[in-house]
Amino acid sequence: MKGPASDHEEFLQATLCHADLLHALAARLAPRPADAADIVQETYLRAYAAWRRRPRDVAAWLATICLNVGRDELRRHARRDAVLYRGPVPDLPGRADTAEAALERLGNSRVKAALWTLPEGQRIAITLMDLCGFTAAQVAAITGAPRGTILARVHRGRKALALRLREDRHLATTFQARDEPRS
Amino acid sequence: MNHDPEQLAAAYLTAMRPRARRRFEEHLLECEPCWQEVCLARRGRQLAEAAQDLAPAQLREDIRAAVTTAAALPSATARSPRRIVAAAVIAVAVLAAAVVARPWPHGRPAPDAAAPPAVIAAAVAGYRASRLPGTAVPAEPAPTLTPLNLDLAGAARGELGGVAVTMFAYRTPSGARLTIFRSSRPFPEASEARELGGTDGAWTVRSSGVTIICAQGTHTMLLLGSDATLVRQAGALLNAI
Repeated sequence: MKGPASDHEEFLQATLCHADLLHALAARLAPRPADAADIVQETYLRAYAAWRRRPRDVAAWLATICLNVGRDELRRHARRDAVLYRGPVPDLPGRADTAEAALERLGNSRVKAALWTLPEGQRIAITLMDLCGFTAAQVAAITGAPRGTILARVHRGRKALALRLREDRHLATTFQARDEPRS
Repeated sequence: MNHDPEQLAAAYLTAMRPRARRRFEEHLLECEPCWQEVCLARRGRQLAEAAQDLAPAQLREDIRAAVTTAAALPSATARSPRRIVAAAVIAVAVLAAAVVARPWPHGRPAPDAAAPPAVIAAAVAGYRASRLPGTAVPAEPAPTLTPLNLDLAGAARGELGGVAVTMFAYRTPSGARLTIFRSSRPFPEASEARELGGTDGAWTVRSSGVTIICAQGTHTMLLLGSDATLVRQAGALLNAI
């Protein structure tokens, strides 16, 4: 009979290899990058609580939980902003919590910043497909959206990303060089 | 040819069957709108892939610690319905015996049966996530911790693991955080807590990298922080230890 110790070790063995994937997803869900690690941890705790189900596709299962945790976090973040003290308190998190500051903490990456300007559906679809490596069918299962919708979101998101970063000379040069010849 | 370049390009770059793919590639040579769609989306995909980054090195250790802690909690080990029912029966029996025998002769407040130990885990999770327990503005003033360079960063009233609490979040200019939870009822003592003096004294425990001190006397105040020294100093400043 398996004890709780072997149970949680088995869980960690099966899931820890997906920590990078979940962090990539959490970083596109958290308004503040510092929250990404907390989202990932919460994801693991919820997943462990439900581990008796032993999912077939562990990565997709974890991503689904992470997505739910991240959305909860977005809602909480909105509520938290509403109750912060204003005025006499000198060190409110407001300044540090701006999207700009958060993006600076991400390393001032133009690509990451551009990703954040996309609608949430497109950002999540692109993250799941291009950063996490899921197929369109898996993304459809994770998000609960039809596969065709996922394809459209990914495609429009990619186009928007390319257009927004078109002015960046360096990136343009880099990626121009990578374009395959037409014939 | 009547076609939708966006739809075709999306399918081409994501999942198109080999035969359709070959046909579309032939079509691309002649169709400018489709070619533009594919180029733009391909560039976007390359850009998105460039945003890849790895999780912080510490994250795996934190996850391991959090899951190991969760595994040690009764709620994590007794997950089957039969065990839950058995635990509930035992809890009711113990509670009934407690009411009859009044087994709380010492000064420390009795653990509140209505407040599960999960409140401590929820406090740690709330601290780690910088999460406020609710949306209501607290009626009571925030404790002053300015001698420790701790400035109030946020406050709220709400629920923590089913217990009504008021939370005050502080931050130093260097980014160190400290959180205070106050309740009208005593917080239950964590199983591995260490006493800081006497039965009425404060207790402390470290969980998932967070130091917790429960104030002496009524045990209705929790102080949490990653910096153990700072938590202790704050506890001393507030006469909590």
